[in-house]
Amino acid sequence: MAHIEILNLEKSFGDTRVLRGIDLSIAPGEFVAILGPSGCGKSTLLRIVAGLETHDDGHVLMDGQVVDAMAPKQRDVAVVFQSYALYPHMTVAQNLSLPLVMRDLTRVERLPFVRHVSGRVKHVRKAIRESVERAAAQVEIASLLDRKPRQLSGGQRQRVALARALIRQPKLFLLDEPLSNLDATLRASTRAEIVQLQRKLGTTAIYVTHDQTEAMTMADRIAIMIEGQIVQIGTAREIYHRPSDVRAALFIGSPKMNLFEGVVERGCVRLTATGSIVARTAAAHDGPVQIGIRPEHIALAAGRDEGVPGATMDALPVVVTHQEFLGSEALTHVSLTGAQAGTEAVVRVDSEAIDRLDVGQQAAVRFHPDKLHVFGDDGKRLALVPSQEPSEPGDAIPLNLQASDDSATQLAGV
Amino acid sequence: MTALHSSPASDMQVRHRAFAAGRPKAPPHLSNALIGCGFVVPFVIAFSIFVLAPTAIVVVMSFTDWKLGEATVSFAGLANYEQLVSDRVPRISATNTILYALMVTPISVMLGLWLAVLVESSRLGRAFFRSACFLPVVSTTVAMAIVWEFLLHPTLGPVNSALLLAGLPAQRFLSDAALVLPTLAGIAIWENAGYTMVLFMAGLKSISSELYDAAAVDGADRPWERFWTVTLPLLGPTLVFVVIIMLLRSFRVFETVAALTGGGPRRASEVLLFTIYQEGFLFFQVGYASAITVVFVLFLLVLTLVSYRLMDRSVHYQ
Ligand SMILES: Nc1ncnc2c1ncn2[C@@H]1O[C@H](COP(=O)(O)OP(=O)(O)OP(=O)(O)O)[C@@H](O)[C@H]1O
Ligand SMILES: [Mg+2]
Repeated sequence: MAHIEILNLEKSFGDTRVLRGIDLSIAPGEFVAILGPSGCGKSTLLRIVAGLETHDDGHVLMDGQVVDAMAPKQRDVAVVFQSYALYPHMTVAQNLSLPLVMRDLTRVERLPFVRHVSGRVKHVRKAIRESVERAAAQVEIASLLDRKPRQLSGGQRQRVALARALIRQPKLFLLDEPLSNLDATLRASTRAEIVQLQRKLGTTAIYVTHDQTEAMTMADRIAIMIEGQIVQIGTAREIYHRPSDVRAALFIGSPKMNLFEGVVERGCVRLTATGSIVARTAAAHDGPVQIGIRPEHIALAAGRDEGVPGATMDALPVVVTHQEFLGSEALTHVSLTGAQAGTEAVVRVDSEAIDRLDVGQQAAVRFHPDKLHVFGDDGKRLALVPSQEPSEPGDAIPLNLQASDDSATQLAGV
Repeated sequence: MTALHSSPASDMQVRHRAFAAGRPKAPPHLSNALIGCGFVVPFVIAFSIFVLAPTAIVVVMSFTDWKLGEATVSFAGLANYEQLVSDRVPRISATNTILYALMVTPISVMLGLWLAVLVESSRLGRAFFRSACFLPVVSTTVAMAIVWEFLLHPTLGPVNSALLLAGLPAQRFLSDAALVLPTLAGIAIWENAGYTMVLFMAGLKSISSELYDAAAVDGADRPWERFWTVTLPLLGPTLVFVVIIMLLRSFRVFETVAALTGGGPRRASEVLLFTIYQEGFLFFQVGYASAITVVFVLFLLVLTLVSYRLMDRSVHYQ
């Protein structure tokens, strides 16, 4: 268990700035996922924390102590590598015991025959053997101890790598996309097992991934990393419901948040497509903005605006371009037809609704007003002023979840 | 999503079937066999002409008393082999060859491995060191032998000047019976180390750097520990290959002996290939030379198999 602090970390490879001032504080025992697209510098950050890579500026602190100049073994961290990095010439048991042999025996004591001479070495070797068996039992590979890595399946190799990481009871676990080589089913079950192990051991963990499901299901907190910067850190819910940056908003949630062009004029957020005011903001200056809405916060009705209950305001006219049936739900892809024609959006509908709409059909969408996200020119979230009463009737969209139910009912009659 | 696109694999199958239906003739396995033969035949012909036939001829000649230039040949039975057992020279040259190989092989391999690790881990001038060490391999041995002859000259050579400067007695490297074999071995090591180095460097390239990272995290981060934990075990297959190549190369020593010592002094540097050459091309005893060759080839074959078996057991293959 360690308290990890990363202060203003900078790293460049030649001319490319890979890390641009990373700040991150991780509480003892916390499980933090670093989530970001490929090439954003996640592995580099992890390697710097492990001590496998040097950094140009900033500091890494463990339990308040600066570890910048420490070798990996002095930091007492364990790493699970993406390709597992098992020693191919050693058996599973030898792979697991290596960290303990290196730590507990001196150079001379490590020589193979010394155990027959020195009582201490014999004793230590026995203790190591016991630790190996305990660690193997923890990840259920006890029956594989005498095999070589090439005789193991991908999932078993992954377990060996996990066991090798936890055998030393390190202060910090670093995992670099440890599940990316597993098939989908195995990935889901291993996900849960890793979390349980980490909870049980109480070891601080940093988990690098580009898979939002992994990050959201496993981590206490997620740090969204994009182009060498952490754009938001928080729980999965915080990031999903209150993304502080448009890039974080797009990275969390599947399908992606829909974005529409908008503009701020004297505190009013106006949707360019309809010209209607959809929200109010305290943001000082006027200018173009992006208006985001998640697929489940859009209501969809067949036909052009007519017959949608409470449709006193401008609904957005769209045409259905594509439908995806996913079992418990369905996704309807639409394209705006009026002003801003061609802007794409995805609407999450219940799986029966999909049958009542055809590709190419005209329809209308409206947004849930409380669920809008507005991002400024720089991509940062703009604070909205909650307004109960729309100042110009019909400008704000009086839509609530009830309305979306109504429209579903309406659709049933189509 | 998937429901909307037809699977590309099934598309392919349909197309493939349609294609096959258009050409109802030759069943595919037959034409495959023909193509296979097409690839193999040139090799078989070349191998027969250049390897099998000469070997067979040598084996046949070893049972005759043929002398180079003579028109008559008669069957000699095992006479050549009997002579080989009783003769002193082949025994001396076999002993010398083995001693020479025992000096050259381990030192060339270890030196090459050391150079490879050293050059690979140095940031600067990797390309320069690589070519510098490989230079002796690509240059002609006979030309290099002349340079060595000058370097090792008893009175004019810089090596002896250096020894004298250091207060040591001058040596007659190539004409002292005790020194000549180690000297020739030294020249061979100088020549081979660059070769083994390049082979090892290729092996080093294939070791994943993640393994070194894992070793560093696990506590094996000193150079020696890295070497024992990761480098050496993963170079195993390369090592087997290099040792066998070096054994074969050193058993085939000829050029330096022919150019520098002529097998002397007092047969102290007489080696097997040189004996074969002398018997066959200086004394015209082709039958006898063939018998030595047959024994030599058999010996190399057994040596290769045995050393391969011995080393292969302790080596890990990926
Ligand atoms: N040793 C290196 N030398 C030069 N550039 C490097 C080196 N290592 C990484 N980079 C560059 O740094 C950037 C970040 O690399 P990094 O491996 O940290 O990405 P990542 O976020 O882990 O991506 P992925 O999800 O694909 O693993 C990349 O653009 C990469 O090309
Ligand atoms: Mg990576």
